[in-house]
Amino acid sequence: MSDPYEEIVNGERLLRLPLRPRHEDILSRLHKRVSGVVTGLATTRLLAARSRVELATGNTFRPDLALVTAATDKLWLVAEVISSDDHHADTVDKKSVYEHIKLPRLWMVDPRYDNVEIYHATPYGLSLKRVLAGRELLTEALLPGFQYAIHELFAGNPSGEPGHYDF
Amino acid sequence: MSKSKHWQQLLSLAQREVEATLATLPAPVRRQAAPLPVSYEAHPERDKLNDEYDPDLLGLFVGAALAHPDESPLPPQIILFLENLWDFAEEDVEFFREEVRTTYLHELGHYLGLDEIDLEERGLD
Repeated sequence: MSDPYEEIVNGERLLRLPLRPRHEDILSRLHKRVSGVVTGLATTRLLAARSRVELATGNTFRPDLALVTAATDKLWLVAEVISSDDHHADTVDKKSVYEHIKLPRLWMVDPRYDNVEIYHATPYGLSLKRVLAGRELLTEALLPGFQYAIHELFAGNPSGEPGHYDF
Repeated sequence: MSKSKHWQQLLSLAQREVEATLATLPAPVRRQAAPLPVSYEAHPERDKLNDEYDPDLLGLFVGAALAHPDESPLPPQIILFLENLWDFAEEDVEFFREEVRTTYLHELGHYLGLDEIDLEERGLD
């Protein structure tokens, strides 16, 4: 397991629990696939996993995966891999900050259900565009050539049943 | 022809046309245009993009113009909608190439800071 780490959300320090192997396996796969595409793009940079990012006063996050626009270093896509024993911070607290700062793209990667929720910023807040599962493909129009079959992203669940794995 | 083979053919034609168009640009413009990614989609999909748009849209520029990087948090990019271009070209390969070229230059113009009037004056409307 990884070491515990800290984030600051709405001015409060949150101690995040050590991440379990399945979380890290999924994140590593996703990073590798995104990195393979971003390497060829001059307009986007992929930050190292859980890089410290200051989003607004009182909000310093360490997103699992973060893409920034090369010209401005502004965050435009975040993927958070949810941990079953520490999910509230990602699915509620941090998500509301991402909505507030109008983050253009948010992927909630959920190993509890082996699915990925795709959110886009809209004038009315974050909008859930799709919930991808099984053999559906995770794609993003602004990452030309990027695709990842969801069942491959979540591969390695020995029980074969979503929600029955120690992550 | 299978759907997948048809798509591969459109994609290949479009990619070659964009490369050829890029190669004909004056060097200073080419240097600015070359790093701008171009992606190819069949049709605009509402759940992939945010804005309201015409379903017959041929191409789209997203992100900020070169001179105004703070205008949008999205990375700049051109998206070409190949099935719409194919329909617009009435399934004629030469016309399709021409429309890919015109649409690419139109969207590139937005990246370089031209507005619709500027583009119309250059025959890129």
